[in-house]
Amino acid sequence: MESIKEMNRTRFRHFLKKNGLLLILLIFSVALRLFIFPRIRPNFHTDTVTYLILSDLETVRTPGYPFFIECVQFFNDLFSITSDYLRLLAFVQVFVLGLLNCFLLYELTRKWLKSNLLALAAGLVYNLDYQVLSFEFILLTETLSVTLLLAVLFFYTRIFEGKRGAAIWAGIFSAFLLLTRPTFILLFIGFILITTIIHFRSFFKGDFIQRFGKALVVFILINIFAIGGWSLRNKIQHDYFGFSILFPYNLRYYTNRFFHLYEKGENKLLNQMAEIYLEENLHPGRFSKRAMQELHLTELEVSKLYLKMQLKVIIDNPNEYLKQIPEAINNYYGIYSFWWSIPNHQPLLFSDEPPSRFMRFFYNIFKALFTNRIPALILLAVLPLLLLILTAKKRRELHTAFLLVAVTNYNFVVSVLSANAPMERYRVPVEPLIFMAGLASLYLIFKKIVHITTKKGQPSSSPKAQSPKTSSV
Amino acid sequence: MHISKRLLPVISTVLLILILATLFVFRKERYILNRAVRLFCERLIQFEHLSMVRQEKYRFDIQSGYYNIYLFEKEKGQWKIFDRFDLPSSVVFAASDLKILLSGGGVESCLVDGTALEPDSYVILTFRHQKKPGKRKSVIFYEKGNWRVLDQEQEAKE
Repeated sequence: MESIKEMNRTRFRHFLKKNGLLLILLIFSVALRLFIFPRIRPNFHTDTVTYLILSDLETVRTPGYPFFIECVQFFNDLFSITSDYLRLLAFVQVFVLGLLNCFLLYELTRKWLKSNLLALAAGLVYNLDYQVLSFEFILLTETLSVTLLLAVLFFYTRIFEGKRGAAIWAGIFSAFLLLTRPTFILLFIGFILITTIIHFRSFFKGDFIQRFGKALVVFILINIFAIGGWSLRNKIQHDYFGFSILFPYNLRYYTNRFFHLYEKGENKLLNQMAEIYLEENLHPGRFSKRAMQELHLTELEVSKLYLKMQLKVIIDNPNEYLKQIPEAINNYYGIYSFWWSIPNHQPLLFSDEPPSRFMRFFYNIFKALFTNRIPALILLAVLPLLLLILTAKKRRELHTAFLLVAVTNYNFVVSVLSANAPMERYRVPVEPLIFMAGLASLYLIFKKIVHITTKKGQPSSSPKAQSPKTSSV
Repeated sequence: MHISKRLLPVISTVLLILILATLFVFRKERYILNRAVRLFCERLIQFEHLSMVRQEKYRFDIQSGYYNIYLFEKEKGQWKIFDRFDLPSSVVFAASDLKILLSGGGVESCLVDGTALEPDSYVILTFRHQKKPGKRKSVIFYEKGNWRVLDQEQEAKE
């Protein structure tokens, strides 16, 4: 009896030793969310309207987020849990996706650099970043995108540890991600390219293709299947073979400023559309409605021609577009605000309660990091660069580091080139990765410094003195 | 041992699907009713929001097995049909001829048989199962514009 008790105690101690920091992170995350959730009402945005109901989905939207909503509501409809439908969605985002994000960040970091403390720090930073946290109670795609992106990274890196099934999961999550946020449509190609670069030698000379080729093909095929499947659905339902994207509507943030320079070309339909657009004072909603009615086009056809129209005005006036890019970069990286969470920011950030003060304190730190040039430059350029240098010798570590840096920069480039508006929201899906890379870089610098100082501090630490032969003399 | 470890996720997934399918079969009627009410409420929320951001007026016209959504055309000064949504074949509205007017981000008024609600009164819109009238769920609209979903127990108290 005693021995069983002792065995259980040992097991428990072993469990705590292995998962203690993860438990601390999860307890902290739950406690924070228990403070947040009773104080908020779910934020509802005009974008939410367009994907709240899967069966009423607008043609320019993709089904990822509506499918997630439908899954949550399926259980609610089946078990009659609540009639506060929006609050239920916020609850799942806060307590399921939020905690899953913490867990995935922790596991991804731990497996990558083999440090539980660093993993804890990455998880904590996610919780302290108000801008990212606040999107958990806003009914938009951002929080789900964070979860899916972390899941893709987690499973994709596991492929190269030889884990069976990792490629399928990575593919499924990547497909779900691109169906949730079409900006990530080319991410899987980026992943394959990075893997090819990192494993360049073994890719062509070694047994890399033999070991991982099949898994990578599975990963690619699932993504292609998702893109092709949704394009086919558009063909069947709307007679348009192509992926639904909002890119043309986002691009107007650039082109509206110089659309008056539009010159008519040979395409009569495009000219007619441009006329309507100018007559409607560059209002995309009214333009789209009129173009559909007067030119007998479907929503997707309008969207496609709208893109052509915008690309034409950009090609004809490239300078007008290029000169706005610095402003777009500032709009993407230079803003940190509670704007999207209004009016919930009041009880969460500006009350006298200790958790609120605690959140306000970190809110100000994060704001200072993004809105001041030097800290922003360190966080966004210097630390990622150092990370690549410091992991350069270990291919496995470099691979993950490269993936992290590539994902954040991919999102940056796509967002900046497609819209010039105060859209710090576009940064949210990759913001946890920016901090994860920054923390990892700081950790590796610290490790390097410790390594150098301990080496200097030991006079007899020459390889000769340490070798068993010399020590035995 | 090795095989069972590999099969564990497959077995648990199949089990979960089976449990859900069984529950779905037993609670199908309740599920269909709940879904119909939920979709109606979500559309109400959507159009409340659109009435605010687009500064337009919408009207929900309740009929026995479906509801139409109308948009008020300012230029022509008349209502134009915007969309139509059918209820599932097993669900009907208990009473018809209710019109819900939406503007400025909320319910502006409710018209029962063409008459506006009296001050401090309310109207209950009941969704019920066609074959089992006992299975029902309602939405209550107050004269001042706020509304919420009622369950059967809540409905009894009201």
